[in-house]
Amino acid sequence: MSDCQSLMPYNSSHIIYDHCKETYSISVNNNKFSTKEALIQISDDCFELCKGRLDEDSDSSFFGRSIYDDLKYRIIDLAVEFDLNSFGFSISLEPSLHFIVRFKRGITLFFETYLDSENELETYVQIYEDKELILSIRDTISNGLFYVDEVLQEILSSRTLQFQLDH
Amino acid sequence: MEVQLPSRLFSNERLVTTIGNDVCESCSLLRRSKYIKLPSGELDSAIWSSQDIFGLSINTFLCNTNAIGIESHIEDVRYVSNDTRNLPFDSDNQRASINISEVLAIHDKNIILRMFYGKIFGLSGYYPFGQKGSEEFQEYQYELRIYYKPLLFNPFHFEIQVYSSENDYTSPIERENLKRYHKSLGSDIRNKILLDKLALPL
Repeated sequence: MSDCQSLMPYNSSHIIYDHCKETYSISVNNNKFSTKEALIQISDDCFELCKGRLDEDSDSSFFGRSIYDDLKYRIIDLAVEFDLNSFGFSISLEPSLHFIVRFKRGITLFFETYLDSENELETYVQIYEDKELILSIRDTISNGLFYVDEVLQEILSSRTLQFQLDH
Repeated sequence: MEVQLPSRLFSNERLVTTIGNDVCESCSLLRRSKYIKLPSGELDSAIWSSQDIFGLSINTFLCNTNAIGIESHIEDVRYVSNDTRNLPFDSDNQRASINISEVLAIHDKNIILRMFYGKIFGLSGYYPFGQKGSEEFQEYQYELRIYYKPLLFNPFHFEIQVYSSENDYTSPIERENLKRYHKSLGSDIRNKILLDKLALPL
């Protein structure tokens, strides 16, 4: 939160007042998947259970952990802007870091980053609307996140509502 | 832990013919897995590694084993025989000179995943070659097929094969010949399984 903003708890939500922009934002927390802290906790719990799948070699394990620590914040920051049904993380046997996020309206995001310390990291991203695949790309992490944000903004309403004050 | 292989897993022509004729869309497909139950409620992506799907070994568990006189248990998928004689089953001639009570198998303790034949056979989708927007980019289509591949010490053994428009569906993609871009194919198949929770731990 920037220096411009102040937070006012309101029921299970927060009202954020931005003194600089003179805007109010309402962050609605209506389930266990709605706060950043809760998602980080779920993600980290899953990581702890799966971390043995990272190479026993300490360098590779450190590499996987550092990618995970960065990526989880970037995905959670993006996901928490929308209404979620569930959030999951696991490490596949390849290994790869595999996030699955289910949003309202039947939207499901798969975000998988293949761990490869010798080549540029590749990410495979898919978004489904019910059973229909609406996005499928293989790209860098940053580009993957960019496309995911673009698609989600288009098909889901952000749960951060913006109000402009009238004078 | 090595144990004696149950005699019901010793293939014979009558048994293999019955299983081959009786397998149907509602039959279960069973697979041993390093799967972990996660607190998120979502399925673990380690149902199998993405390259395993190309020729994935599975066991069938028929719906009506009592009616057709076959003894079969879900736990049968746990028996893994590394005996060198455990080859594809062709005929009863292979049974000659084998004392089944001396055949050993590993009893695998990993989690068993269950899928349904009718949900997996024909599963299809697309996967990319090259990066979107580049000149070389194209999309291939794939589909899964299931084949009965009885082994001498496992009459319930089947395999999932991946066919692709890359070679006009003429032969399955071989695990040994995978290219880097086939990672996306493996991931696409796995994501479809995870999306609809088509593989569930027992």
